[in-house]
Amino acid sequence: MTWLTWRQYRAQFAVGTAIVAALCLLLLLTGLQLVSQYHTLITECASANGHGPTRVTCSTGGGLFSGGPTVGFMSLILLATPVLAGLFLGAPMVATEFEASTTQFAWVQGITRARWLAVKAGWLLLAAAAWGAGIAALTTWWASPTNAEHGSEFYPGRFDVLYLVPVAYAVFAMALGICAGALIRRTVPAMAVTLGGFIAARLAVTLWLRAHYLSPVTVTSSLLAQTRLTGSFWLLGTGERNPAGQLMAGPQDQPAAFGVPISSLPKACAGLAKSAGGLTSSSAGGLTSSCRAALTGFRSFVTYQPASRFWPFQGIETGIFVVLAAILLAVTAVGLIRRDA
Amino acid sequence: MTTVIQTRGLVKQFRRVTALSDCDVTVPESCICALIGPNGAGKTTLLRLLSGLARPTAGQMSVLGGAPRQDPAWLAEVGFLAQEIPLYRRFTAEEHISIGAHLNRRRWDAALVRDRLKSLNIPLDRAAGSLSGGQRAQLALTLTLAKKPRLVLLDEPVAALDPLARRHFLATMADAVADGALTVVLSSHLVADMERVVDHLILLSASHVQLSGDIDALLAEHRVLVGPRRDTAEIARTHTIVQAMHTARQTTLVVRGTAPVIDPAWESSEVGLEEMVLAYMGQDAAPAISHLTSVGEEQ
Repeated sequence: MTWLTWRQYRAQFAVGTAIVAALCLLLLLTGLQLVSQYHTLITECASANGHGPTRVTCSTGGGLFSGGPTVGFMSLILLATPVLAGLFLGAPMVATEFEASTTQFAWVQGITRARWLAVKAGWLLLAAAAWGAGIAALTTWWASPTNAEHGSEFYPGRFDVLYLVPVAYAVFAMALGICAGALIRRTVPAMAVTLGGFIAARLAVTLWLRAHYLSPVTVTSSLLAQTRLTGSFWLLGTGERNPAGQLMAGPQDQPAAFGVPISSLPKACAGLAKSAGGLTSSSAGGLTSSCRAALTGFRSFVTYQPASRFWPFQGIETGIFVVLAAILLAVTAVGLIRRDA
Repeated sequence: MTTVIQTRGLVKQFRRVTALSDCDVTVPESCICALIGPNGAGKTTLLRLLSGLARPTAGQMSVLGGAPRQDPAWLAEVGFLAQEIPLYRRFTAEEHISIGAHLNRRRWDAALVRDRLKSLNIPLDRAAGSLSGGQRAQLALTLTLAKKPRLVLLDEPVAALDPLARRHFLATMADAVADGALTVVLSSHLVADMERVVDHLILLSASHVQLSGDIDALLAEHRVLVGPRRDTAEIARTHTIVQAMHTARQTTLVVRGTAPVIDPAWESSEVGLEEMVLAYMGQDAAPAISHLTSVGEEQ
């Protein structure tokens, strides 16, 4: 059965590996450029400040890569790659055999359908994982300068292309493709379902589920001494509450201080309006003492996932997609064995 | 005599359509059994149930001593060739031989395939998709036999073959059955091709088994009666009338039953296989069809 699988898929395995290699080459070329740019930046920061570079001190010079067309384009490609193998190898795996009625050949030979499925699906899943791991490893290296600069590795869009999770996505997409092909039995509809299902699962997890893997940390502080977070945390929300505990509206277009409109602050602080721009806690030294006293009941809060949770989150999300893949494969097996060929 | 296939009350239903209903058949070992019936009679459904590719909605069946199942030992004993002649289009005959060898580790006769294809002048190194329909059918048939099964189920195997190839193929089957413990069930909507080689008959029509048994025994039980046009009530008392055809002056009956025909007005004669089969098929067919058969039967 392994022989048949390799014989059937040797062209696809070669093409898939070639595409992965081409993508890796692109990552390598742009990555080398990013690394050299990053080193230049660090050197400049260090000489300008006279002490060790930090992201904070260098944040003004850090616009270098953010929004850069190469990085943006590559990130899009990297978000899409895990589904490709599932789309072009997974969905047709059983569906094309039904379409060509070769299931009626393969399933009357001296092996069971369960074994037929296990070997074929096993090799395809392995290929998907290998391709996914290759891309993920290179992407992790490729993204390290921008991550170090922006501390962005925990954010959606970045988290999704680094380390373990892209491998889990690729395995999930392959399992989804195989399952859709086995149940629908026609290649093109199965591919459509695979694409739709993959996007839906990824969006649902990224937008609604991921932030709640562990309950977020909320730090509350006085308006005058707002918390400053460091490291690759994932910021989920910030805001201000008045002494009554009510969430205060944002500044919109009104004159603002501490992130809230001055009109909603106590009267003693009306003088703040004269200051140009919004005040931050660091420049709060110029406050009148009466305003200072009036602000004691106001709190600002930050809700976030700390950087230390990056790996637990990678583990949880990998687990979710691997379990989904296992469920899909179980459904496939039951469908193929119990339904008529 | 051991039975290879035995079904009891087999039913297969697809949503609203009943493809097979109350099917009781028995096929003994070492015979060639023809599964005859018009298109849509349920032949393919019965073969797919027997091969384990499909599951019955109700009823029992025993094939080679047990229900069809996902068990390598059972699968190794049963060969099935679907009507679609499934082959991997991009693979050559030689590659199909390798596939067979890898999927049938218990038994696989690669030499049989090579010899037979060579004698049929079918190239081993061309993709199956580029072979002619007849060549593909021969390749698929040979691959089915290379598995060395004890039971071979063939769905319309001769449909894609020319008359000479048909005869040759059926002779090969007859030899294989005579050689050893092989049983063959083959379906067709024509009986003429197989008349010479088959020894067992299952007649399916409108998803029901109309007739099933040893062909010689069946032929001995049936007679053709020809006489002046008249009422058939009297003969129906001693015989089952399978088919009655009337022209202006004459009545022709195909009857089942071994009781003697006493009325001297009836001229009794032996029935041919095709005549008997058509008589049963005609039961469910439109009158025009039975009229057509009656013209064909006039002697």
